[in-house]
Amino acid sequence: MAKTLNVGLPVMLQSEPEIQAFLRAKERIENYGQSIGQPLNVGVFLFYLPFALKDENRERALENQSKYHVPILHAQASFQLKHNLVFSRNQDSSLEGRKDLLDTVIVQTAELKEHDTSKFPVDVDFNVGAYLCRQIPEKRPVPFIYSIDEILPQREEL
Amino acid sequence: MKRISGGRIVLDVAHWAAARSAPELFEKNKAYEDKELLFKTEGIKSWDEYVERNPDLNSYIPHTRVFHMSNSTGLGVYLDEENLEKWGDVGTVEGLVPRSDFYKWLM
Repeated sequence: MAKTLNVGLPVMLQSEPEIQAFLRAKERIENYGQSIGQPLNVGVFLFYLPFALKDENRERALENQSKYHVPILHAQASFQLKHNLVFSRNQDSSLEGRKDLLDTVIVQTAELKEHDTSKFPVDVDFNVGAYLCRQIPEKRPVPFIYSIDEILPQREEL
Repeated sequence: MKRISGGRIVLDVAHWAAARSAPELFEKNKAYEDKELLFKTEGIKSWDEYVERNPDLNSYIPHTRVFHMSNSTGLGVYLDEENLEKWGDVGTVEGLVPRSDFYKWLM
């Protein structure tokens, strides 16, 4: 018997039509796996775009999850400022008493998992925030873009 | 990846596919400056070394916890006409998340 592969599909849980689309895709993909003798376990890959972290969408996602109980396989935040490899001082939310979005992501994921009967343990990851570009504008718009000459001496550390 | 993930890799299959298509597309499009940048970044000197570092999907199975599969349009990066011809078109498939929603959610 082949090893079961876990497949995560991106779903915005605040959107009910997306959940329904996910459930159809899950059935279709798992059936395909069966037909080729490769067991597939399809679940949700949570991707926290800033929009998904607005209070009303967090509440809506929790309401939907308490209704659908979809299996969550993984959670990913986007840039998380002071948790990234590179960030500027004005992106450190703790300096101004602003909310730490990574905390919010972890709490939200834990709350969503409470309604998930799969019990599949979930990791939360985030974009490390280091990009390499061939051409960098003289005035760098964001701090996390490197030129090749900057990144090479620091590659191992990064 | 194996070392720093502790065997808990979450592999984005679309990123893997893009990486595997790089040798063919870079050569076809004569993207030599980009190729040089890629080789320098990875610390390699040939496509053979590159392919060795970006192996086939089966090689990832023992170390991968979850395979992430997204719709073909990914995060809504759409190319202009000239670049579509060079680098490939994803077609008009909207996938699970429509293009308009991506723009809305990215705000």
